[in-house]
Amino acid sequence: MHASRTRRNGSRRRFAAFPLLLAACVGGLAAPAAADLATLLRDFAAMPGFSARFREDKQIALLEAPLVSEGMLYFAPPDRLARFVERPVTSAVILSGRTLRIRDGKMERSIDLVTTPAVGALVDGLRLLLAGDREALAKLYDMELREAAQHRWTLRMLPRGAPLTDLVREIEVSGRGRDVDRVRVKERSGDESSSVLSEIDANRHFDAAEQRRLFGVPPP
Amino acid sequence: MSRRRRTRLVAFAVVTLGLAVHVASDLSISSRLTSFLATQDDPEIARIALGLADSERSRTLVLGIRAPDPHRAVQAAREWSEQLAAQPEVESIRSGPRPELAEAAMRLYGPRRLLFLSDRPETTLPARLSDAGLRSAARTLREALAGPEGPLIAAEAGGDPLLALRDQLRRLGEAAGASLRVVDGGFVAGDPEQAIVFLTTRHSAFASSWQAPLLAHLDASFAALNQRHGGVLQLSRSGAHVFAIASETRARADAAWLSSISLVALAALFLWVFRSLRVLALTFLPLLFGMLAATSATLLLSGGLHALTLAFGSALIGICTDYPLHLVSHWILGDERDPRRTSRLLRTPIALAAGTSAAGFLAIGASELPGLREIGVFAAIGVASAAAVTMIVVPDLLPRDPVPTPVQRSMIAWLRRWIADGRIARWGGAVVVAGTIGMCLAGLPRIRWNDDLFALNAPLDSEQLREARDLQTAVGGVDLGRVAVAFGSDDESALRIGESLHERLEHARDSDAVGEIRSVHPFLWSRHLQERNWQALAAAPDLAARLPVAFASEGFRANAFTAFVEELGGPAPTPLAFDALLASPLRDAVAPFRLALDDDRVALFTFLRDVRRPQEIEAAVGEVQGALYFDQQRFATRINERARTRSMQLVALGSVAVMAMLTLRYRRIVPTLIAAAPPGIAAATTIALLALAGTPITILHLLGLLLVLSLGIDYGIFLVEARADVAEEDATLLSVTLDCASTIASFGLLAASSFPALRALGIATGIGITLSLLLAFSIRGLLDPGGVAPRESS
Repeated sequence: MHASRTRRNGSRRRFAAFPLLLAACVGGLAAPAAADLATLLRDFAAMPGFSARFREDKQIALLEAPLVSEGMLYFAPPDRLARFVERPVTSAVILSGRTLRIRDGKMERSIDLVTTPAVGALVDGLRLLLAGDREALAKLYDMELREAAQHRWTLRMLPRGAPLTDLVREIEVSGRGRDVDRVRVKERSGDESSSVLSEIDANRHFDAAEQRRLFGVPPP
Repeated sequence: MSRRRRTRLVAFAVVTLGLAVHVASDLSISSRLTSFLATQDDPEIARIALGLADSERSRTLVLGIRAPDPHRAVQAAREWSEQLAAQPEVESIRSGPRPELAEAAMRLYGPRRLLFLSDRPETTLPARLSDAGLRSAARTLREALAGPEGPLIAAEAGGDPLLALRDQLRRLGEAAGASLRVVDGGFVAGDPEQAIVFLTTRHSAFASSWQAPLLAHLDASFAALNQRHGGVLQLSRSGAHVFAIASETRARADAAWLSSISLVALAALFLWVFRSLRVLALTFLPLLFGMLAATSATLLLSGGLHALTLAFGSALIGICTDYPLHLVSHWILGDERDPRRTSRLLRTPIALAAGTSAAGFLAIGASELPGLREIGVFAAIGVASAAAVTMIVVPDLLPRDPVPTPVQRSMIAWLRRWIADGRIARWGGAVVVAGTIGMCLAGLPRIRWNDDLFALNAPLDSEQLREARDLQTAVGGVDLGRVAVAFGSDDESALRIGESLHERLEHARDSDAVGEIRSVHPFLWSRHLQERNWQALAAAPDLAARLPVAFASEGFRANAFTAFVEELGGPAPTPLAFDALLASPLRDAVAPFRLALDDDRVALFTFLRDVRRPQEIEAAVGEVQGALYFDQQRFATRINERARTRSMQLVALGSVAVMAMLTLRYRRIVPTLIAAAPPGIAAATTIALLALAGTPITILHLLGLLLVLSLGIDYGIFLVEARADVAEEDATLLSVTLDCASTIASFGLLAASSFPALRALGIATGIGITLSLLLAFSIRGLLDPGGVAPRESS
């Protein structure tokens, strides 16, 4: 019996955690001076790796004040992503291939993205964005890039269909030049999160030992 | 050929053909050791043993596929599973979790989450629902919202501020075991990782006629799969099927080479003595018919045949070569020229010999072990049928005008010199009898019994065993040999007993008496316990008013938990029932814990792993009324010990019956003793010799001695019955000597087997039968040294 997978997978509306993850990750991207979406995605695809410090503010309907968390974010192409929360409580979400591991205190659970298509779609969205795969990304989201003065730009990502539309209303990634400085995720439930990234290294190289330490698996 | 003779032979051929067709069409061989478990003395435990032996867990093979990376292994496992699913013997096959599990779990537990707050609600809930407890719950919720599962929690927290659903889902996750992971939709376990396939068969793991072809197909199809994947895959297997078939294959291989040697030796012996292929064939004809008749009758009576019945029953029926040998010897060496008259002359000794043997076997047939019962009945039917064929059919096929061969003449002359010479017989007899009695006195007090039923099986292949253990450890398998059982008149009462059991076993686990316990408890609580949770919630004063206040003090909005408050004021949810779980996709998880008994009761299993202090576990289980601790090995040993004692009593009873038959026949003490004493002393001396050699005595040694008793009685009877005539005595001396030699060449050879059971049978039979013949001659020499005067012509 594999109720653990059952529980971890949850119902579709329970996957709202991942837009937040997406927000945190996307927020850290060091964007080029993007003239158009194709250029932006092509430059993302050229990144050797990525790391950044993040601060996330979560507005939850249940709480009077937002929940604030801080930590580090790492991405190693093509499919490894780790988000370590350092404050207020330590936790980690690590994506490696088609497996998502969640570490919370002493507990660790893993989610197989093949058997959880909703989570898979969300994480694929993030992976495809970081990989700059416009074609695949366009199957999941309608994207709109708006430019403003002083090289500022905003990428709006609107889910195209279920199960994403059941969870996420809109993802908004903003930046200036090559820097992404804000990611907002508006959930279908009304909750919203906003992440700001700092100490960005968009040319991050991970050696084998780092890959094992951060992502829990040897490099591909 | 006379018309009556032709009719007899045609009728025999028709009956033989009919039996052969029945056996060929219905033969089904099982090798499960539970057939040797009693059902009368411990019916409850026997039911459990039988239930476990046929349970879904027991019928499930675990297959591990290793590849250079887990993705490839999973892909190969999925591909293989799709092929194997088409096999008729495959009941179900799983290489990954069912996709609908998540939704099913939410549907079943979501509305009932408040019924699963605590399995000790009266003890724990008052504190959790106090003001301080609620504030603590609020902090826990806040931390959970900030954690990686925060959005998941946020979606439900309005109706579940106490995180009841999260906790219940975590219990399910822990019950599923952390050992199995899911990669690309397939199960993966172990280090290095291997893809896992669970294959459940339709028939018992011990039904070799089904499992042997399936295992052969697994090997062949995996080889093809591996070839398609470039030869990089490795397979490991675990399951009772593997060992049952390996054991049977080994037994067959042993039997094949031993019987080949035996057949060659017997053929050489008979051809040397009789110089006739026809005599050789006639000697085996009753044996083969007896085997067919016994197999057919057992199939009709039991619906199947145990491998041990086939092995040991056939061994016991082996004494049937004695009857045609006796008839042939008398026909060749006697004065009578009509074979049917010779057979009439031998009717009494052969009937008496067969009757006493059948009585002994039927005594074993009264054993409480179904397996031994089957062997006893099989052997009794075989012996009676073989004796009938010897008397009715063999005379029609005897060679006309036979002449004794020089070898026969020499043998008889030699035997006469040693056996019929009064002085040698008396002194030689006294020495042999005194020697054997001395050995009995020295050895019998040193007897050690080995009642471990599993010790009779061949030692398992260490590589195969290691592979299976590694795989079981990787997938977090349970040990079916140690189980705590809760019995109830229905699911509800069994669950309630199971809850008491769970509480005590948790303590035992905490004190390290057992490593792991697995039961239905994480999935289902009794209706009573679920209702007690709701009652405890309802009993908490002003909970609906206090909870928002307590949570607000930790930063939550005052109206955040309206859904929870409204639910508290509503009707209690319908408790979750076993039937609902069994009808859901969670069936695979809960069904192995439940066994519907044939008396309409329900047994719920708690599987135990790494039992370190079994006495403590037994004591803990013993405290719960309606619960029982089952240790398969200990139970089998205890039952076997009782069965051995009972079997010895039955053999003693059979011996009394044999003595009564002999006394009725001879009405004098000397012939009765000549017939009965040799096998009795031979059997006792054999045990004494084994004890002196430090060999523990098993039930198979006893079975061998039963063979010795049956054959030895025949020797005695034939010798006593032949005392009236020199020619008859010559024929008898030759036939019993040849029979002893052929028994040693057949059963004695089993002592070379690698199977402990076959080896024990061979050693006991080899020693016993030699002693039996020696004692038959010695006791006759001692009690009746004159015998019949030798003929000049001999």
